[in-house]
Amino acid sequence: MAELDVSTLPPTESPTVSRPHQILTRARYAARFAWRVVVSRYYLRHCDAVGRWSRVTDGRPVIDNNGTVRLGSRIRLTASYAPIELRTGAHGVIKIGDRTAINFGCSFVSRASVSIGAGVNFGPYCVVSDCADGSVDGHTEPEPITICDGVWLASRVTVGPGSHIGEGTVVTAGSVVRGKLPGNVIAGGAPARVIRRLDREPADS
Amino acid sequence: MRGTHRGAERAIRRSLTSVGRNFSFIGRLHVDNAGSLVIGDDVHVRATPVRSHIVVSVGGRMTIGDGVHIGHGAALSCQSEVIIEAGATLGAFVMIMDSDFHVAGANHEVPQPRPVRVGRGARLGHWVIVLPGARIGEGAVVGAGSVVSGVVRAGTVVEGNPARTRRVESMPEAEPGPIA
Repeated sequence: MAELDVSTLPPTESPTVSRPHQILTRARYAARFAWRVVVSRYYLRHCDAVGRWSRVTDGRPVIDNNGTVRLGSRIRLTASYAPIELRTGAHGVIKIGDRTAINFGCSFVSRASVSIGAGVNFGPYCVVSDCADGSVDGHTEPEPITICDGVWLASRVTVGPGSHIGEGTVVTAGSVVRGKLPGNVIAGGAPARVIRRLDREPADS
Repeated sequence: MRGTHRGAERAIRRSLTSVGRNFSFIGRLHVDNAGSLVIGDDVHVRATPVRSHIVVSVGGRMTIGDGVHIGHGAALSCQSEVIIEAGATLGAFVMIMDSDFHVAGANHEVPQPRPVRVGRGARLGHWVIVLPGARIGEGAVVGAGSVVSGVVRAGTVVEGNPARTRRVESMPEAEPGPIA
């Protein structure tokens, strides 16, 4: 293969799927969904509360709960390629609202309080830690974190101690959040600053 | 291929649209090819200690050129077109995507993918994120942890979030070419 010329490749088209195959595929997805909801109860057994239909869709999370971890309903944790980490110290509280989706490699560490609203999306490898050392038995002063409803954190966003992210805000990839971000804006950079306001209200929050 | 079950290796090779000579990988590489995934000669992908994954959606075309090296924990996703040209080197945990997966302000809308191109001999450091629509020129160097979203001119060194030019290694001969 000397030169890559994509124009010579045959066009890729969506494959035509027969009706029985479609039904079989949907049945397989439904069975997988049911199975994951059941095994999730085992994976999330160290949480203090887990709402209905909350599930680990792939892989397994690492839950080191010495305080309180409360999960709402219909939460999706996808730990497919790297594990998701939830750690709390003796007085730490992690609260995650309904319909929040958490991607692989995310890490949540709490020695005071990490409160996440409903319908929040976390991209892969996000880090949310309310203590600067990111350890449940460190010595730095923890400051509570609040992430409001409908926030979208893209890939590899780091949320530092004392942060507050307003409703419907989007934080761009690779950003570091410290302090307060208003609602309905796009913010990014290290440290994250407001880039522009979002015109539309979030469709789901 | 160390650390890979022979059956798993066969399954990965079978899922590729075309593959050149000496393609090798270490660890549990995840390949999900529903479009076209073309891999050139002497390509090496690391997938240990953290899995790398290459996901090509229906209608997507990913092309990985000759002699490309990809570090572990890499996340390559393609919905329209991703081209990694010959001799490019990707560090560990590099993320290349041609779609944002969500629309800012409207969670359930699906955004239009924008093709990505990594130029010949470009070097991407560890933890680099390449966002949709990025074009990285020939021989460019992207510093560790950078986020690239626009055009990186050939032969430049860029760093930061968002990536900005630090210096010019060699005189840029041309703008990165248009996406085929």
